[in-house]
Amino acid sequence: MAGSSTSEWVRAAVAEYEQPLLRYAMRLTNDLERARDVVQDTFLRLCRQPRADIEARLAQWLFTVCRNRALDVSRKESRMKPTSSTLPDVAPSDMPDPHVAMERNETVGRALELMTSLPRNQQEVLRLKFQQGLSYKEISGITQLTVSHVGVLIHNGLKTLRVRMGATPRMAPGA
Amino acid sequence: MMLNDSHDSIAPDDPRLTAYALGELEASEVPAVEALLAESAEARAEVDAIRAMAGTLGAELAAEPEPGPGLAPDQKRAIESALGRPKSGGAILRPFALPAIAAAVLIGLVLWSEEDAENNRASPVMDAVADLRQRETPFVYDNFGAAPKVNTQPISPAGRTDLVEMGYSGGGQAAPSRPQQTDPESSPVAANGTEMLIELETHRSPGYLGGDGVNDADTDQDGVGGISLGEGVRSQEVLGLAWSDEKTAAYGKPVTGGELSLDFNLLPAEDEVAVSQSRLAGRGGGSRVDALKAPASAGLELTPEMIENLVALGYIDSEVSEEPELGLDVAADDRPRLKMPRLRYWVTPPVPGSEGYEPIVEQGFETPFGAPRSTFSIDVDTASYANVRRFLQDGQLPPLDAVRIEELINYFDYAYPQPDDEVPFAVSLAVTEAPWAPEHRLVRIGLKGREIEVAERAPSNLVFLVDVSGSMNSADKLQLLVASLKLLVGELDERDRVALVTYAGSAGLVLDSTPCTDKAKIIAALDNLRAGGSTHGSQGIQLAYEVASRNYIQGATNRVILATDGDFNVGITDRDNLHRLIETSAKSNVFLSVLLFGTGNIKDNTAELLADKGNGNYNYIDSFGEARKVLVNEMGGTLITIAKDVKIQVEFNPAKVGAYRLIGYENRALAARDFNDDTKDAGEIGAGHTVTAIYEIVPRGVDSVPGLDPLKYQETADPVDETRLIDSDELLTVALRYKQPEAELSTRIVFPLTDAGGTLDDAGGEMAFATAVAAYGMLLRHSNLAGDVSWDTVLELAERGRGADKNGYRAEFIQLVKLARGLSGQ
Repeated sequence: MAGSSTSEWVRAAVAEYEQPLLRYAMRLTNDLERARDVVQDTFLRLCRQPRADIEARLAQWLFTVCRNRALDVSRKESRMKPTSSTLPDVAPSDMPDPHVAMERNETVGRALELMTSLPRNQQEVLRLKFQQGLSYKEISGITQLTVSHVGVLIHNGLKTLRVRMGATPRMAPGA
Repeated sequence: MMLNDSHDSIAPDDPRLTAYALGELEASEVPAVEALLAESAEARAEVDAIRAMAGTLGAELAAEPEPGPGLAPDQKRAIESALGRPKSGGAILRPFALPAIAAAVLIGLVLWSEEDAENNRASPVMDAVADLRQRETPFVYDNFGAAPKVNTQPISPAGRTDLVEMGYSGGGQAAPSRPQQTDPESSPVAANGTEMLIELETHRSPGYLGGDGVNDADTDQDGVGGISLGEGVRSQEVLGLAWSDEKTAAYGKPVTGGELSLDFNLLPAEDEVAVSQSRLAGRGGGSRVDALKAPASAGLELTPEMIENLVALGYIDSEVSEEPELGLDVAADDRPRLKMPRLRYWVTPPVPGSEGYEPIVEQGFETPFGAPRSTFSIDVDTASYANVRRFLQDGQLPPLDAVRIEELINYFDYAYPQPDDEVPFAVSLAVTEAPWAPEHRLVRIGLKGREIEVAERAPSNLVFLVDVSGSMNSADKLQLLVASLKLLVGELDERDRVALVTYAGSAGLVLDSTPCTDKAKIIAALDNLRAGGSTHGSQGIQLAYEVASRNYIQGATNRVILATDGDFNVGITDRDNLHRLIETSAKSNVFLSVLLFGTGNIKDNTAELLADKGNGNYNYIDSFGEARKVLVNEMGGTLITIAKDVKIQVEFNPAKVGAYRLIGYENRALAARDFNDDTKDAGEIGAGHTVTAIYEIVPRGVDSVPGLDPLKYQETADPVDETRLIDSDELLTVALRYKQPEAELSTRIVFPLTDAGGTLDDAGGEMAFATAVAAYGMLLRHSNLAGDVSWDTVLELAERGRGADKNGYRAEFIQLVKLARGLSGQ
């Protein structure tokens, strides 16, 4: 991906991060159209950035901007809807995702299903960690939480999932 | 709260255990957790459970369908216009072309603005520049705006030979088919030697220019006369600028008061150059066409106004869209020449545009006083051999960094004796003279892994992780890959299980772990693989490891086999995370093999690193024959690890050894203290594998050591203080450490060696052959330690060591040596 130019670099970033960001924004805004707007806006902002400044931390930058944009959008929406919570509303998490429901089968999806019952902030960091493959440090940068707070959220999230899944899943005999 | 204060206070609810399990723990805290784990079975179970949960969650998240269609076309267009290139119906300039013109125009600005600023500001050039600037063309001011540093240096005619001049003004010769054959005498520029180079130091992008490569003009392997490449060789394009007194160059006599012209030079990726060359050759010798090959990727577009300006100036022809693969044609003869940038080529770079090789720095000689021990990890990879073969068979010498000598040597199976005790491998040592320096000795250390009968081998739990990204869609990639994996499945039986995971736009479990009693199902799943989408490796690999550990079989071969063209985009996951995942899995005895396919895009460095981290092996498969070698003939070695973390430490006797060096294994060197450190990872040896390492030794008493000047303050002739030596006739002692495949603790075995003084003529065929391969590698690497060894000597030794050669690999090697000899012009 040693891009030939900034444009190529942006295009590559779009190709690579479009779906991951959309997934993330979708969780935050709970609306596909809004999520697409947020993602588009994120990439538009990327076009204006000096490549050298953010190239090394592209993923973190994109997710941070995407998150902030999504929160902005959600805040605006919530102002327009007097009945909703006054808190910056970060995606109600228990919305059934039709696409997930459609593709779900017996063997896959139990953890995902259980995850929807976790607190939203745990879900968010679990997704950033295990779906987007970001490090604690990157997640800390994106969410503005401390690294140790991220660690606690992930720890608690995984633990709850384990308990709720009943038995510990089978694992390779390691140690 | 220290972790090791009390077990009760941490387990099972300390977030640090989770951080540790996920490889996220601060390095400073790792020892405390590991100490706890060593003591507490409960903590170990906890860490396992966390990893298992993480694996399950990761796999499910990876398999989660995409939330919906991506950005709408108009949203994408908005991004495109933000990049400064709205759609237009006019001629299309491909990505190479735009920076070229932008840069050329801009240099024009730099050179002219002082003398004639007013004029230029009103000129179409300036308009084009302004237009480009306004559109935030990445190249323009970002790179050149801040007062470019200009170095000038005349190019010598010799340096010029590396430059392909396609129909350069007045020369009229055909574009040569290979740059090496360019005749300097017939090149008009070389002939009068007045051309100057301007080297621009870019401030942003190491991909363009930079460094001090001007001096490389004469010897430059990269074949770019005079222009510094720096990082550029490996990037997709390198831009260089040359300018000349146009009239001098064109007509062979100076013109007083002549204005300077600009030539813009572009170094696109090799495959593209090749295509253009053939096209140009087809146009006949005298045509004055400079061409710019466009890459296949999506084009950049200029506005009609910009194109008009550029056409008016003769930078481009307006008809270019008729030949979309030739993005740009340049100036016909009757166009005004002065101040006219034109496009032409630098020479073919030997490294295809996006292939990545880790630089190798050859190890020089050490003395037993400076470093009494030499320590390294074994390496059973063979990928470099197949890759070098590809280059040679394509009629090209390989890039130096693609040649890893130890992998060349280890490509071959040597007839070493089998182990006959409980040690999983046997060690055989031999000494002979070095063909490139007869006074030097070569010591061969040969390891032979125990052969395991097919009937006796352990069952295997394999997960094929297949890259189905769009780039795999070619006969030498996905089709060959499927054929290869089918070969492997054919070798498996009812003891084995296979699962199939793909990765591309989204990762997916195509086939859950299936016993090989149902081979038809596995074959059908392989046959159904289709390429498409972009690579996203990290989710796929997480899923693959998850499937492998879910189906873990104790005492069996548990292995993920990653098959890719090497564009292993780790995506959002940074490399370190991926490496951690692979390392962690290797520790739970799920190993990784990497099979690399295809050409032009291979990321040799990434693949090798992944396989190393994953206790695995790495093979490059460029043909069905190679697939058969790796997956059928050597299946045991590829799949069944009989010893892991095999390290070799050699101690040299200063009474016998003046200096020594290990040939190859540059990226396998270990610190002496790592030898006894069981936490330090090293190479694996598979069933039936042979591993060979060769040391070159300058015996004590031989005065000069290649590469080292004599010392000023010490007696170099014989600095050995006899009183400090332990009396021994031994030349050296080889110590090895290895672990059983599932063990944590290593075993040490030791072999002393005495040099009986045999010559090359006395050496056996196997030794002769290994020596030939080493010399072949050194010649290909242009090693300055290769002395005066010739290709003919290599051939002679190889012929002698050819032996029975059941599979014909050695015969093929002899062919390759002949090819390399031809390509080296000897």
